[in-house]
Amino acid sequence: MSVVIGIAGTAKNTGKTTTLNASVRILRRQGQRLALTSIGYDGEDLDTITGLPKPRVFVEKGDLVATALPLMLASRAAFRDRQDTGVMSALGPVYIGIAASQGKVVLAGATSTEGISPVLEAIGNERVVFLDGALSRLSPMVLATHLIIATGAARYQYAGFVSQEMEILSQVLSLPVYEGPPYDASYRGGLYEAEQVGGAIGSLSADPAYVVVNLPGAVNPGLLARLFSGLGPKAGGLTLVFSHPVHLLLSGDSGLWPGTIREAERLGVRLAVERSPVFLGFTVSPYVPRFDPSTREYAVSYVAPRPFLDEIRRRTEIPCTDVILEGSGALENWLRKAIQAARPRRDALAAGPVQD
Amino acid sequence: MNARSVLLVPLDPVHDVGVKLIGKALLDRGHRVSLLPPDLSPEEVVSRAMESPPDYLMVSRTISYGTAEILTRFVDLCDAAGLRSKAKLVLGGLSVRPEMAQEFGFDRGFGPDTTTAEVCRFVEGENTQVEAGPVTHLEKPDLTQGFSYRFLDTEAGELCYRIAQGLLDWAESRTSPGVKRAKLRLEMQDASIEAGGETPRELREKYAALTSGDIQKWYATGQNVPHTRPLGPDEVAELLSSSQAIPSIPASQKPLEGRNVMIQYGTGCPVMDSYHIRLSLAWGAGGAVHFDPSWGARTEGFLEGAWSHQHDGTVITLENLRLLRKSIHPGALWQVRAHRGLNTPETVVLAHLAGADLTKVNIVYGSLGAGTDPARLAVDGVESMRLAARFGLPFDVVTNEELCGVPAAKAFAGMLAVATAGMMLGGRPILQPLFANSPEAMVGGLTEDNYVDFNVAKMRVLQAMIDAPIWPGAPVGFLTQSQDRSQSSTMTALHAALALSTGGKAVSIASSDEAYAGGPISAQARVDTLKATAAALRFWGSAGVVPTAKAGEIADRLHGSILEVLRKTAARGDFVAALYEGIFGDKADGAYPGRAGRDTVETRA
Repeated sequence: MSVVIGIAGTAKNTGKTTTLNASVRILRRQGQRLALTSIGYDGEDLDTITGLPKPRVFVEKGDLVATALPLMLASRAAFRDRQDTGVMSALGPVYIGIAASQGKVVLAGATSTEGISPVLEAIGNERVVFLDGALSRLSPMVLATHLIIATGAARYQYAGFVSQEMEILSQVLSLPVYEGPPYDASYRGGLYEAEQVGGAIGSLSADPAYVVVNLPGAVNPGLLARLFSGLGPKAGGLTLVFSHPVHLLLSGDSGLWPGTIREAERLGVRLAVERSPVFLGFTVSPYVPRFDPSTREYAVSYVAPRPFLDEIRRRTEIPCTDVILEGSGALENWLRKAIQAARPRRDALAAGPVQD
Repeated sequence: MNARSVLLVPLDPVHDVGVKLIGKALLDRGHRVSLLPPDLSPEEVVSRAMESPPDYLMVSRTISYGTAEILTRFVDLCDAAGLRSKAKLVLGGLSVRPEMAQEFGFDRGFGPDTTTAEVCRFVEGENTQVEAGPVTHLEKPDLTQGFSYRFLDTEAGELCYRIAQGLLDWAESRTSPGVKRAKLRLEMQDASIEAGGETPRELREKYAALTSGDIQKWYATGQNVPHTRPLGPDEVAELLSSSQAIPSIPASQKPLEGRNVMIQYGTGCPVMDSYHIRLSLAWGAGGAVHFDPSWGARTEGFLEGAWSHQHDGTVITLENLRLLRKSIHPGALWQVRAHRGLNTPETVVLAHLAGADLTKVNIVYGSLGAGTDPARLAVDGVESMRLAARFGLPFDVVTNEELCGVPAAKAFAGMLAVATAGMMLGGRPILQPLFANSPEAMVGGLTEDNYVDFNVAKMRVLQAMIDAPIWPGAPVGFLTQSQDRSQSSTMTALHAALALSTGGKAVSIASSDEAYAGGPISAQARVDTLKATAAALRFWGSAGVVPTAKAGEIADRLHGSILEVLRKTAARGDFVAALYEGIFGDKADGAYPGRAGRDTVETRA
């Protein structure tokens, strides 16, 4: 069973690449065989929007990389055993290749869940895979077995908001994986109208307590609130199975989730997911690019790193660290946990047969 | 071709012009196109798309504050909804670049130079990805093709032939260290081929004996010439592995196609030059001109090996030139200048050995404006033109002495006389009038109202006198550009467009920071002027430029004055003496006979 570590950000410039590089160094020291890819564009010299310098990505001999072919060819590292994954990115066909020498590389892999699956298949199960995120994108992280979130001052300069967002994220990521009887109904993935779902649930059975409904795709917490309100006490015993926790964070105000989860508990509605990654912790970056209107350029700035991190820690028990400030000790523990306790997550995804 | 369903989404409050144009083109090609109204939320767009998932979902959006977040949320919603198993997500907009589309998670990005045809080809399944590969817009032209080199002004022709014959006769019995080195260089080349790459020691020693100054010191002691260092193995490896391939030029640069817009490089570092050349070709330049350090013109001989030079100008050595040749697309023109110093004939030999397409020779400018002794450069210049003819290298004859203050009439008379000598030696000269706000123009009020009349007059006069190719330069726009990059680019572009619209076969342009760089020329500055020149050519198209009546007056005066200078020179009966005596420009004009190489001319044994 492969370990796929997703490194997702809450915003641009929150330290995904720094976290990736630190993680790669740790596992490389431990002799792990690594594979690197990105759901976006990473390792470039200058940020595509701010134009500010960015951390680069270096591969060592033996690392496997999945990236667009033109970028692989442009890398200072040489790659052997190049193989076309059959996936096309905005920058060309995505190839995998094993570094025959060290060098800088720009990662630009498949950008969709549909595209990442064949890339992971081509990589195989023998390596720890790093799936590097892009901006605040989350959806393709459904394929990660483990998740590290990169956040920081580029997202919120107020520590309280950072910790609050991570608490919400943690709550959603803690929804149980569904194991039980087949679904009574499954809706096509997408966005739903509360009335549409509520009416359909009502028509399934007079007693929703025995109804298991699969709602794949993005689900807005506001929709659930309206659904609960429409069903009232009849909702008790209903089971709603979502495809993945990250799909619950894509639409609407994710700040509503804690209340919605509490309301579900009060009504006796079971919320579950088809699959879920292990949330290892989050990294905090004090970096903030600031736009200077007088020069029309971005400039680098930082919030005070130590007070920022300490204040976040004071407000949440979720493991967190600033890898520049504190070194890679915490990250090392998280990664050890991932390697040692890699659960066959993806095998446990087989929920019951889908009815439509 | 299968008709595809395309959903066009102006995810933007107002900017939906792009998707409308694309929509029309797709409809014309028989595709099924739906256009959503602007300003829908990402959720609303996904919901609409889910009703009937299209094959392509094309989003148009200007990139501004918070756009990245909106677009990535949209992509994630499509992903979570399962839309991406059917629909390709495409992002377009004036500030979109492929890297940005990739970072945001789209399957493809179309930026400012996209044509509707390109989008149609993408929808129809053709891979329109920008890939490294030979460019299609570059086909090496022969700038001299189709010209008879016949004098249309018979008096000018007769005078030029008389003067040129005198020059050739004078040079016939003379030689110089420069001429000897050129011959020796060819011997060394043949011998090194026979010896498997090594130059025989005795030839190398013979060569070293013909060098001077820091070059001589290097051969004797190995001490580097100041401000130079050998290229490192990594740098050489990088140049050797550099690809000549460049991507197709952006659509907005298409007006440059086939117009032979030449850029000048000479950063000092061949690696950097290689980047600059490839960058310029990728933005539509038709070729590149090699600039060497000014000290190279005043020192006898060349170094061996590959060198980097700390200041302006890239050192000429066979190895440097051969490394640079590898950076230049085979369809691009490459000129190695040999016009102004003590190494002129040898430069022609090296240009030939390295595979250059063009060289540059002018006895008058080198003698009066660039510091070389007239007699020395006359001997060397004649030999250079003989070699250029032998190797089939066309060469331009430049008139940059105008920058010193020499009137155009004198500069043109010199250019015509030298070009005629080149023709008599079997060569193919190209006339290079200077397009500039020269001191003569400033003092004489020739450019008081506009920069068009004086330059048009120059073209008219030359075209009236001889059927020969004209390549304004070098570069155009001298003394009209400022430190401001916008102003500088505009001036360059307007001069270049004027040159090409009045019959120029090629034009040399400066980078926007070239006149006042205060340091290395930046890559952006190269793109500035190439983009500005393309825009100027696009603006005028075939409409042309109409000068005022003053252009005709200037041309008439110029024509008469050129003939006067030619008559004086012919009457003097000695071209070289005419140079010393100021017939082609005197001290009052700002022309001073150079001193480098004085007393080095010998009578041929």
